[in-house]
Amino acid sequence: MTRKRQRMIFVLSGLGALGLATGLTLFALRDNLVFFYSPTQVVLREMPVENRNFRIGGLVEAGSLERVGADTIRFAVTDTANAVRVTYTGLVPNLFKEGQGVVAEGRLGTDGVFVASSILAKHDETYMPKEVMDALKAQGNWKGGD
Amino acid sequence: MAEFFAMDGYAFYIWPTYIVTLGFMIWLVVSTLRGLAADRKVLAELEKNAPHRARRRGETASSSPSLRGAETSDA
Amino acid sequence: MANLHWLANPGRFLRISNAVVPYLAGLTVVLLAYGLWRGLTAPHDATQGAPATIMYMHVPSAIMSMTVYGGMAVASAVALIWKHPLADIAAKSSALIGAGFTATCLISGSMWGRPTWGTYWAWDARLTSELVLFFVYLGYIAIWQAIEDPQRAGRAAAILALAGSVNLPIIHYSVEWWNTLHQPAGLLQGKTDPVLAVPLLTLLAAFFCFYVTVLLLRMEREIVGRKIRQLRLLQAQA
Repeated sequence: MTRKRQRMIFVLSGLGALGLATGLTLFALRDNLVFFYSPTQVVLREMPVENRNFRIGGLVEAGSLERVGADTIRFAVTDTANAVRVTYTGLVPNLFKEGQGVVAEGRLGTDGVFVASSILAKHDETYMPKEVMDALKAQGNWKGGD
Repeated sequence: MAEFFAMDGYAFYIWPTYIVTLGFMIWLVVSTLRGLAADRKVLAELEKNAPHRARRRGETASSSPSLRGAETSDA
Repeated sequence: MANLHWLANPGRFLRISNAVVPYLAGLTVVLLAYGLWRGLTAPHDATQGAPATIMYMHVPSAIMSMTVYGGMAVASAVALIWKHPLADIAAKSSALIGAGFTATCLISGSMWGRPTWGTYWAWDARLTSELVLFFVYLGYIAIWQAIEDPQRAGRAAAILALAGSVNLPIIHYSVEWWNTLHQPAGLLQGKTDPVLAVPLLTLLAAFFCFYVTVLLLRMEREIVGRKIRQLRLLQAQA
């Protein structure tokens, strides 16, 4: 009985120590574990030093998307508090549109415009058929993008 | 029907996913059942030829006394 | 621990298991058929269109990859602390099922990511921690393969399984703790419309029944395998 107790304490304390170590490591690395920075963080310059590639993520601001030339686009990424202007040349994912989530990778120019080299679309965790979405929109209860 | 399988042009992504996932499940069941059948056969064979004492201790597949491995067998 | 010791008798375990397996297998088939039928005929998601159909394979695979690991870790703890042979067998028999579900989760996620996000893979916290889970499963299986003596293999594997369990909360909370490309979980928060959630939950139940069915069969195979080993050792000594 005491052997079992001993082993149980051993296992539990081992798990506790390991959990604590992992937690501290993750906490120390928290800045490197984010996939992208928000526009607010970019405005406050809370991202890696300038002239280095990083990702910025948020929503494509409604009304900001414009086409310049054949396949160059300009738009703004917003987290509703702040927005950062982005320019990008290339193909965009099908889901990319105003009001949708986006993650752009590239670097920040000296003029404060983010020059993206790749664009990924982000989507949220709500799933519904088109009829339901249309009904929500008709009732004015729709909270997502277009 | 063709429209259903075309999946609005995304068939390339959707059907392989279903085939891989369901295929894994079918493979796992089949390989487990086959392995079990083969091992049961080997066990039955061994029990038939086993020394008298071992046979007495584990006559049927469902009533062997120990699973702990060699150290509990007092032979 | 009276209950566990009651089940420790492999004869009793096999009797119960053999009685239950046919019903569980039947239930799995019925749930799988119903879930697939409802899921594949449900209207497509309004935002993503057809690619969201992949969630009926992806979400159950993902949840099961973690559920199976959780079961394996608990069984490993019981095996380590109480030296319970059936717990040891249950943990070992879980590994391939869990590894498979982790693989199908990663593959289906990849096939879902390409048409929606625009990439097969990204090193975000959710995807990376799920990949780590896959490698932990592989390491666990490798230990059982590498160490001949089941007692020593079982102890080493159980310690790895317990150590690897710190990854479970990381996978689950990764989408809340850090910015990720992967969306947060919405299935149980009512963010999925019932038309899509009912087939999804049905398939989750089907995958769970599949897991229990195959686990029981694999445990029986392991028990038979250990008896074979024991008899061979006895014959070698005779």
